[in-house]
Amino acid sequence: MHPDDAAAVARARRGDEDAFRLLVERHSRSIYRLAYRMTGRAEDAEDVVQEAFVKAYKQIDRFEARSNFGTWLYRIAFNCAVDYTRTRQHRDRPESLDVLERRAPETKGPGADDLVFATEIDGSIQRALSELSDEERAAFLMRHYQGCTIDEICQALDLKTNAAKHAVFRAVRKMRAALEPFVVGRPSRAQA
Amino acid sequence: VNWHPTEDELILHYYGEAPNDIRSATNAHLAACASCAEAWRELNAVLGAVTAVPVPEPGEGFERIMWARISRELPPRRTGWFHGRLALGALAAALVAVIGGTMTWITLTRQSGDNPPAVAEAGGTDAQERVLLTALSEHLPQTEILLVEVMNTQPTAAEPDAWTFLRTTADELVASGRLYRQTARQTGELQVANMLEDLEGVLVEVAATPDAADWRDVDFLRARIEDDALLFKVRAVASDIRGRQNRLTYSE
Repeated sequence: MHPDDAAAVARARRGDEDAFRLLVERHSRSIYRLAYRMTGRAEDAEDVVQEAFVKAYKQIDRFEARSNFGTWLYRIAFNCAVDYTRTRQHRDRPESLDVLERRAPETKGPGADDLVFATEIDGSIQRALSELSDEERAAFLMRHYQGCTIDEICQALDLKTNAAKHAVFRAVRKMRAALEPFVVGRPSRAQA
Repeated sequence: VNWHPTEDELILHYYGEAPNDIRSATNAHLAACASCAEAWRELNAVLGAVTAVPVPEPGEGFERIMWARISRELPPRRTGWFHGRLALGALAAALVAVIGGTMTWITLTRQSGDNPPAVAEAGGTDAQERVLLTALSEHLPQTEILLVEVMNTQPTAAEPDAWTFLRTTADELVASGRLYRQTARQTGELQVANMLEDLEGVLVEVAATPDAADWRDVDFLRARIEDDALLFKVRAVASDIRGRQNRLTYSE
């Protein structure tokens, strides 16, 4: 937990909105990233951030002081993102795919192949992510992008250690199956 | 080479989650085993590609914008409620003092015959009306919030404090509501008095909800609130009171 989170949480519990504002300023970007990966749209990610913090404020009395506030918040955000994506199934095409597909035909001239390749792989990654189960996606995103440990994933998603590990394993296997045709045998994007 | 790390072990190794002894054994093995080294390269290539997918960073004012959105949605602070109730208590005391003083003054002026009774009564009624309206302009919105909470809060084990809070608040609203109801009758505000009487019945029920309240208790309360259209009545009277307060202000 951020060293000052405990103090801010204690003040927020007493109804101090300024203290809660500090927590929003500290954690909203990382929650946004998680939400974006879950929803695939900037607007939806912002809605999820808002909903997650409002829920956190309402439930702050339930937060256990010895826990990590960020991890607790991830759990709330994850649930909000899952509910959000389930209730808005009509938005089944993530923004990034639309953007990428619009961008692809315009990529002509030198380097166009690389850009088309990057577009294809980005699309494949988004599709592969969207095909993971909610639990696999959350565990994978937290482990891969947020750098959360397996223990933190267990806390955030209320899973046992083995279940959290296997959620990550399954997710990685599915990502490999979807992406290896694109990736293996090509130079990495950093090298390209 | 007898031992080869499994795919799962390689994944844990990639994320730095493997135990120390396995980690060094894996590193040594990958340096010696070509097939495992190839599998390791492929895993790195796939996960490296996943890492490279960017998330568009929100703009500079993101935190400020999010706070503006979030702060609008935050429920009323409980400390605010607490202070609000303290203020209501003070207001109730003031109401008693003003009404008592006014009645005494009316009685004395009637006895002394210094002023025509009609003028004295008119002045006294105005003062009582203002105080009553001010008191109700605080009391009714708080009652409305409580009723909305009752309609939406579950007495679950997960949130035992939520109902304790509702019970305590209802108890305090009953006490102040009785005083306002009596005053409303004295000042001829029969519609307000009747509405406060209806409200009192439900508030007493909320205050008396058992610790182990269940769905049936809550459903009963909700049905009563809905059947008596209490939320509608509270909002209507609160709106009427705001209008009267505005008219009194402009007429000064």
